[in-house]
Amino acid sequence: MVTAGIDVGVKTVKAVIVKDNEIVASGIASSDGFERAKAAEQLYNQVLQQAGISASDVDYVIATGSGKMDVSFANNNVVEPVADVEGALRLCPSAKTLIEMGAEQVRVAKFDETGKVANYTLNQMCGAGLGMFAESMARALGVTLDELNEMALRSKGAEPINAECGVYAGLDVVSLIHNNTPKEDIARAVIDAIATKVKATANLTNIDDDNIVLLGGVAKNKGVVDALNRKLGVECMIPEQPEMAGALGAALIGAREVQ
Amino acid sequence: MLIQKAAQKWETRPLEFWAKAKELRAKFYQDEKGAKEQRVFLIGGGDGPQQGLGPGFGNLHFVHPHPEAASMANTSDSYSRECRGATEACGYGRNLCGYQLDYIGALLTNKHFSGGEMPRRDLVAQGNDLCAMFPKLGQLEAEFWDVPDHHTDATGYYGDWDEERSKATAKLMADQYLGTIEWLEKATGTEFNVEAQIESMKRQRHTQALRGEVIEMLTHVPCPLDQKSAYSVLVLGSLVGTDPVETEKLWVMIRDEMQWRVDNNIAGVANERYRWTENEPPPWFFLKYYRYMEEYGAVCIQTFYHGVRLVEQPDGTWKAPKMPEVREDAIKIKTKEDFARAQTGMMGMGGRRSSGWGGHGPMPGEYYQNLMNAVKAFKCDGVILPLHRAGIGCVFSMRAAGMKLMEQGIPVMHYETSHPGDRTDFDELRMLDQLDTFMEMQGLRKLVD
Repeated sequence: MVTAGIDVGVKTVKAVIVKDNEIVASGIASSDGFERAKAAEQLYNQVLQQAGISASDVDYVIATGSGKMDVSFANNNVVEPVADVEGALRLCPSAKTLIEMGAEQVRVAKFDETGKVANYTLNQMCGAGLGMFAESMARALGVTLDELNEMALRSKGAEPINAECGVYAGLDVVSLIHNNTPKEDIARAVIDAIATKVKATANLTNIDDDNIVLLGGVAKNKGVVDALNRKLGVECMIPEQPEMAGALGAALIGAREVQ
Repeated sequence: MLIQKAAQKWETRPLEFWAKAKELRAKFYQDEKGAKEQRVFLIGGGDGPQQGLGPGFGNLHFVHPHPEAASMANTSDSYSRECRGATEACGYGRNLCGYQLDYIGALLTNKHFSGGEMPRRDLVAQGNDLCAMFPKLGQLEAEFWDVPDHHTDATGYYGDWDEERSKATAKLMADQYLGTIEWLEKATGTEFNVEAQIESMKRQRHTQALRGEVIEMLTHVPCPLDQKSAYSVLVLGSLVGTDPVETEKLWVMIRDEMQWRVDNNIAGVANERYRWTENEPPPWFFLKYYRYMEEYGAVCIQTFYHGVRLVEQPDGTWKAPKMPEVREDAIKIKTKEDFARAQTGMMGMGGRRSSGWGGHGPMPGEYYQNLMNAVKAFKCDGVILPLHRAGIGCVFSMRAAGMKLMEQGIPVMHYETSHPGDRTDFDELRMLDQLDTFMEMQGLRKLVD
């Protein structure tokens, strides 16, 4: 049996092909702004090619992510946390809690070994867009996202900035620039603000164990992960491709739907 | 969207009381607009027992700004937005209670939500409320219309039960109430008819008791009344001061119809299979979310905004607290002073924390317990709670109550808005997405026939 999962986010689209319960192809591409339906279709064709199969060989396609309704070729769709949990359990079987940090949202879910979600919390609206916030702050400092991370790690100390709202945090960064604060310290402040906001969302989910897996593109940001681990007091698990969990989960759910 | 087939279909029927309720509400607003022609004093201000004094004078029509503002938000987003914009342009902050942003804007733009101009108020009698913003609205309204106004103090004490303090509070409230009656007599040149008022008060109590009976019947599976319809009638006779005689008749109709529906398993929502409860006023601008949830077979049951908190009985059933006139120790009400004491007591002003009647404003920790009781009483599977930026429901305990419910294994969803009457901070797509997630994470999918 062959199934596909397509995760259409604000910044990126991800696709995974699963054949007989094994990943046979996967890919990631830019969501391309207003053209994400087209981007999803293009990426799907790419991963089909990578798997050496055609669309007619695929038994079921499930879409997830904020743009899930845009995937016209999907047979069905599933909400993000349910797909995330499915993917998280495949990637990290011992996980009991997931923190998904994407471009737009932070989602925290507690679940049991069967994947049943016990608690789920979405970031408050003021804390939306953390991934995009990190990117825009890197641009404001004239560096790439990777460079922002490296700079943060070199910081010797940073003033806290607004961790409630990305817009106000941006204004705080402007003030730091005007005060000639070293770039490294500003980078540290940005990273800490993101980690603080993520931890606040996690706290609202009553997380109480250390089997936490980090998912989403921001989970690849070493600075955020270090800061978050410090704030949570645990070492979170990070799969090899944390941003692919949703698409993988959707493909696995698709296999179950067909059965 | 993953789809499931409906497992069971309940029989459902249109609500027979609906036309009567609609007629009563329409008449209330017609009377507001026609007050001048009918030589009736139009009274602004809100929040307090003075709102029920109409029958004792016979020539007063009280208009509470909040239900009017809720109707504004519900009627038209563009109109409500225009009004809020006018209020902000006048210099008021965005953090003002949404009802007030709406209502002040209606005064400034001179547009009534049902069409036409805002009828000029002749007087303002502002009641008491613990919210810092509500009582101030009466002063503002009086200044706007340049009319005489009267205000009373709010009392609040949320510490351990204190009998002496409670007695003193009740006396203060009753004395203030008598002061309001005296002021209205002078301002309108009308003598207060205590017999007519006492007669009306008995009707109001009977109406409230009927409301309690109806709420008790919502514990039945399937629930006989859907929440969206319930919201349309529950404020009639309370916040919306409809004619007491007709309101009593309406509630008798509702009670009898609900009893019949319970006896015959007639559902408010045909595909009911999941029940949730909520707290405080809903987003008046987005009541369609109840209909959206019905696609999952999910129905909302009870809110403290209904003004009744059921109490568990020794036999495990849940009942509304008895109204004073049906208690064995019923107060004998004969004089104006008796009436003032009884009425302020009924409104819960002398000890609202334990009255069992009344909605928002319990002790912080009581939010959790009240919600947990509602989950048990109404056999609910989950809870959906608002997080408003300002005004009603803007309490730290809302999130805390949600977390405590989650600890007890109750699924909880929070959604964010500016205020029940203000959709500025509301993201409709986000909320729909949250609702989908809330349902799907509990294994529920949209239903098909």
